Amino acid sequence: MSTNIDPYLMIQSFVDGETSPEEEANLLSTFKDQPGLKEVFESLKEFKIKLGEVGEFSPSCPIEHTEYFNSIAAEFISQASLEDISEEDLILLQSYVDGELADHDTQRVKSLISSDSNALAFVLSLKGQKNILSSLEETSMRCPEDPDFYWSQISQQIESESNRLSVDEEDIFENGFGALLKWLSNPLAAPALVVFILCLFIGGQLNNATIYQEVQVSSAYVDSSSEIAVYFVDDPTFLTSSAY
Amino acid sequence: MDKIDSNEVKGSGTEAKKDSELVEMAQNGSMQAFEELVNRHRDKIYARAFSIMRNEDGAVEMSQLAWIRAWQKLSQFKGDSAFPTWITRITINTCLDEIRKRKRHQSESIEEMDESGGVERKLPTWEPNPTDRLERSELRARLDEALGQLSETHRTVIVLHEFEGMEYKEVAKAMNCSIGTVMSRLFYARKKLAGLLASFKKEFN
Repeated sequence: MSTNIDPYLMIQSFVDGETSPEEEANLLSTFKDQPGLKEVFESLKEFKIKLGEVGEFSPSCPIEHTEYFNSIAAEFISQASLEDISEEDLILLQSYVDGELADHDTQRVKSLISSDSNALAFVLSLKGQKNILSSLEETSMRCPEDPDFYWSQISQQIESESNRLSVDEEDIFENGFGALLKWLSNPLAAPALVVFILCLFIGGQLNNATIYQEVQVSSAYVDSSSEIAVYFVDDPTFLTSSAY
Repeated sequence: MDKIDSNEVKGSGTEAKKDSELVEMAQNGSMQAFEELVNRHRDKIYARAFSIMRNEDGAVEMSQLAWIRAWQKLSQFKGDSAFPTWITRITINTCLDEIRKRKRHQSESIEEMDESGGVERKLPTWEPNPTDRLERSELRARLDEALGQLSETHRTVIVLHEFEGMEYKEVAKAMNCSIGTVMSRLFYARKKLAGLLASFKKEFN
């Protein structure tokens, strides 16, 4: 860590326990060299006293480190007030802590943190809350349900859903296209289908008007003996003659 | 859906397999593999459901429903994320669906609850480091209690952002609201949480 690094990033690293003793020493010297930060941290009575002890904390113990930092920052934060910070700035500060700050707002936030002790207090407070939440989230919680019973309820529901879907599929098969396929699987289906198609073909021929036009109907009469036979002979007057 | 292999015998070595292998087996219809996945991640999934629902019965029910949905959608899992991440997201969506359903019954929308995106003018005094001097176990209990006292919307935004590590845009998508609303809800949720923890601290002292 160089002494030119963003002061807040240094604080953040410090809070996260990611600084070595040497880096922490640099951090402290930076605080002294930065007028804004110096002013902020000079207000920390305990902080000033305990600064020299920071090096005793191992970077491998980030939670203890964070708690330590929080404890010495508590007094400073407790004296802070949000009333003088605008709504927009509070949201920006929050975004900064959450790592969601847009690039074009970064400079504004950095400036705010280094010049306004209340803003820094707000950031530290949010950071502390995040640390508490993240450290406690690691605590495992156990499902109170008996494992076998828990699984049996899941598997029963899955099988029930699976059966329901199968029934639905069967319904579709029986009531829709599947019914036709099922009918076709019958040995009598093929002959029946052939007959059906022939009927359609013959019926189509009988009902096709173009075929009628080719029949040169000229005359007809009913055989009185059978009453069904009709004879057609060429007679151009058939369709118009009133004789029929 | 693939046919369930009911002939598989419990304890035939699924315990030693990786999640990805179990998922593949489950995708091919192995209920035994899926059961092993449930056994492995049951507590985590329950914990996530509990963090949103805040009651044991509801958390058990939602976590089970999430597992059922996961089974049904298993073919869609391509391994782009870790399986626990995938099932956790299903759990969160299941819980949010349930919350929305409840809100509809109450003629109230989760999207319209609390703030509408703005931040109120008058800010109450911020209580910093409210948990200072609390023992860890005590802190755990207090935090659970405080989370339980948040509205479902505030609790959900905290859970998604702080515990699940979702970015603002991911939270917005999950909660079906704008990023601005997420920021506002997060701000108020944190403020409320700080206030609740502060009150606990006063009791503690």
